[in-house]
Amino acid sequence: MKKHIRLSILTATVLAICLLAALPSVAQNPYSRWKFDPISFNPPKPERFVLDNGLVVYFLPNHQLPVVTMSALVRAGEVYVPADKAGLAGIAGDGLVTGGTATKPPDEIDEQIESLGIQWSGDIGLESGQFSMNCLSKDLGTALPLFAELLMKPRFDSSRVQLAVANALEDLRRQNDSPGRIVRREFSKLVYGDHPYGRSPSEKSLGSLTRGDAVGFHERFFHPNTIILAVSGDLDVAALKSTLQTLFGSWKKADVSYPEVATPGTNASPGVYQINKDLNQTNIRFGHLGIDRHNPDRHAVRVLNYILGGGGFTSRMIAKVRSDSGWAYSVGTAFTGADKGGLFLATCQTKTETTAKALALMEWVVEDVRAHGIREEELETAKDAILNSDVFNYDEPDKIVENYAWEEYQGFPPDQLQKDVEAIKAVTKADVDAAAAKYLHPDQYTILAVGKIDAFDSLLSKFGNVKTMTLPETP
Amino acid sequence: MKQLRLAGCLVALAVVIHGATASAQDVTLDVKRRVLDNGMTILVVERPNAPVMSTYVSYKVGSANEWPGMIGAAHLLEHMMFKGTHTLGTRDYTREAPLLDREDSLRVAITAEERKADMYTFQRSVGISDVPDNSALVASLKAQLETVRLVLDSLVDKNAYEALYNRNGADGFNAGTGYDGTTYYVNLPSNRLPLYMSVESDRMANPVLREFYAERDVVIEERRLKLDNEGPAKLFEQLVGTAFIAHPYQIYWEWKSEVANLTRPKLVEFHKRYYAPNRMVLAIVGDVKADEVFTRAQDAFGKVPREPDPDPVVTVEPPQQGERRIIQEFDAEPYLSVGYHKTAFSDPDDLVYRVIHRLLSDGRTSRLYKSMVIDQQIASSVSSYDYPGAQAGDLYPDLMVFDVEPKSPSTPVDCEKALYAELEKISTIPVGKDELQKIKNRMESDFIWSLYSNLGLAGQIAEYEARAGDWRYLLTIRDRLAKVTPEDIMRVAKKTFTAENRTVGTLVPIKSES
Repeated sequence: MKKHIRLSILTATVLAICLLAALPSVAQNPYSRWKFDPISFNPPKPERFVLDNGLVVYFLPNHQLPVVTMSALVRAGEVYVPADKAGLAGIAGDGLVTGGTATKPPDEIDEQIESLGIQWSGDIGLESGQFSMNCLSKDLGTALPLFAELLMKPRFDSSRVQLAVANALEDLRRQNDSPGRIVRREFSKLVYGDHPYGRSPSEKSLGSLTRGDAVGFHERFFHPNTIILAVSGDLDVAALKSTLQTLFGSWKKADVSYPEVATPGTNASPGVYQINKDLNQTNIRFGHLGIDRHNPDRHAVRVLNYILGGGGFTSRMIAKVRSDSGWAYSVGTAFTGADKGGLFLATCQTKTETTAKALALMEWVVEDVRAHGIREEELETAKDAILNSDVFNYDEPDKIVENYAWEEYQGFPPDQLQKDVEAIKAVTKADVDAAAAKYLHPDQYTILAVGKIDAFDSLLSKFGNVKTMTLPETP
Repeated sequence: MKQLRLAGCLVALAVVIHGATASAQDVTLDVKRRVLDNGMTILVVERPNAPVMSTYVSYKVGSANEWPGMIGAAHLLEHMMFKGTHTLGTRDYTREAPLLDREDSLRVAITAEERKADMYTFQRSVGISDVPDNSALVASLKAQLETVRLVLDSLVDKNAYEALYNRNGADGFNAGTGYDGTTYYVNLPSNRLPLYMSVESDRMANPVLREFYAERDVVIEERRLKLDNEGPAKLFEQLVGTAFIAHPYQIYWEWKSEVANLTRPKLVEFHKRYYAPNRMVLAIVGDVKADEVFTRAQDAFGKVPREPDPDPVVTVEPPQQGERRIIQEFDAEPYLSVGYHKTAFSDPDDLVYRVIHRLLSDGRTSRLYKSMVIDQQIASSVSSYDYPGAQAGDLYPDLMVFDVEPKSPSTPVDCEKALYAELEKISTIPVGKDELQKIKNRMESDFIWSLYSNLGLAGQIAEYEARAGDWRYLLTIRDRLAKVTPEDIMRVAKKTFTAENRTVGTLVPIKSES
């Protein structure tokens, strides 16, 4: 009886899909006929200037509120850290933010920053570091020198570095607490293998980190010519230029050698993997290596992903798995961005009893777009959505300067954002269909399910050879 | 479509000061307000910097307005409000409407027959003879339901509401259900104002809760995602269920059993009662003209009738007269949550509590962070927040919660001791002048930043308008905050941080077999 019901639900879904396909695909609602003029907006272009030592600055004034935003993008990252020091980039970022400066111990800086309500944070990720400082414009005279000193002469007070390491170790102890965290980490490890993109810190690597490592990391990667500043707010360009010259002018430019980061070759571990944990919902993630940030087909891929599973409720996978079936609250696809090669992935959390069914339906959605391509009106919806919301890249000055800084950081020309718009406009159905054929590879899938294995609705062996993994040991 | 429920994370305290002390910088906030005859309130801030607008709707209804048998109604209705109207989301509403009714009655009939079947099974199991067998009837009802569903599926214009806004450039499109309020927000290019007004009034007046039963499953799946499989959230559910024994705030998240039995007709009734123009505030901030917004709102919403105000929540939580302790076992590392009852937003001490939060847990110089994370190193994080923690303050007496992540080998017990030591200090030693001034400066800075984004500003004025009946409530906070004294802090801390007013929850690890 039970089995029969399950089957009929799946059949009903497939039948409904067929029925829908036969109907006129755009229903006539009164609102779909509303047409609007194209948004006419020439967003302000930030001023770009470069100090003699190579520090690049983007700036836009904004006098709406008496505030200033400042963000520093630093060419540094975990990918440049040797495997036995895994976790160093994060510790260096934390140590820089919390560890004081050459002239001021950490407690004093904390007190100063918080007494003025300055917002100050930072982090070093895989391929970039970002530090930001927001303050009231009346406090800029205090805040900006502090920010500059932290970037140039961080103290890395050993008490704070040790604290950062100890907290990272506690975080490692908690690495298996949350199923979402498990599936993200283990999936990356499976697909990337030994590549730094798939790496996580270990008790051993974290335990080896010292103040000297953080200082060395800073000395190696933090130089005026590795930093792009993005500034907006209630000040003028002349004042900013002279202040930055005073604060950063004496900082010497340096040659920095970056270790070569390999291009991930192929999916390191295709196949089906499962991890047992006593949960009532299974975390599913499948996919394979995707494209790098500069891939010339990336605009077609963006449109493809919007239609496939990245465009919210209008996308296919969400319509099928969530709206039609009620099998997931959160489901979708993504092509992640990375310099040397991101991932294509599909993710879903579904109750234990629909694990295999949801996975099968997700796979079917990908297969279907590969086999039959997209429809013209899906293309229109995706392009309209991307192009009409483009204005939200420019609606606030801090977003504008940060977008320009980020494009330059990635090595794109200054007008890349406008070029992207033109490229999206030019994407055709044929481009998207070709991207689906070229960048979706069901034969290369790594499939990972984290949940209560013995209660799955069926064995996962129908998706391939299944290996059951154990969770990594915690300290 | 996601719930605004904030457990286990530091809830941003809504900070509200206008202008400032002598050293501070004044900001202007020009909010234009109009109340339509049907009671709908519209707030507008004109900001012509970029051709965009942020829209934020707050309805005065949330999970505190539910009752047994209807738990989860506010949240599920929030999801259902994305399913369209008589004209949006359908290929033929005249065919669809009777089939939706038919689906409801078939599901009611199936549930009734399945209950009977359970009874028959029980009767057979104890040896009663001649028990009827209704399995053929159940199968037939299910077959009919399947047919109806297939036709209904063919009549749906799937996710048309989202598609419409997305095609028009929507950004940050979402909604959230709280305990005393439900919100809907989206950023759009500002030339879409006429479309927005038309669609939103249609959603208020003519919603169709199609695809109801699949969405019910989605809401249950959301519970599994955010609660059932996350240790600290499970702990929190038990904590508030223990701290509150009477008030509806006792239910942190709707129970699966309740949601699974909600029906479309029940939610249609809930919508009629609570989604009336007189229970709604709309705020728009961006490149719009207030007069045009008011005119269009009158044209679009003016015809929607006012509804009688439903009864407010009358249940008053009885005073707690002794410490309560609970344990939640879960396959995760230890965690500690401690809650103290405190007053509602309308209490004169509300601002004193906001200052206490800041003193204790905001930033690296806060007392708990300094003591537990930096000096003693017994915790890797500590935070405090109000539960439920609405942006403009909670309508009813709420809970001040402390969350601590103990750092091994320290235990939740170690962390409890350290927490109580700091709470004792703040209750007995007057806070220094500089420390208090630091907090006031921070709150002022945060207030100014809270006006930065269009959506942030729209949300803030809408929430204060909905909570206090007048958005200008937020402008009064500066003067009231200036008057908070070290003695106030000590007095309020002393009456709050007592053992008998406290509920303590501990997450205790158990390992699942692998």
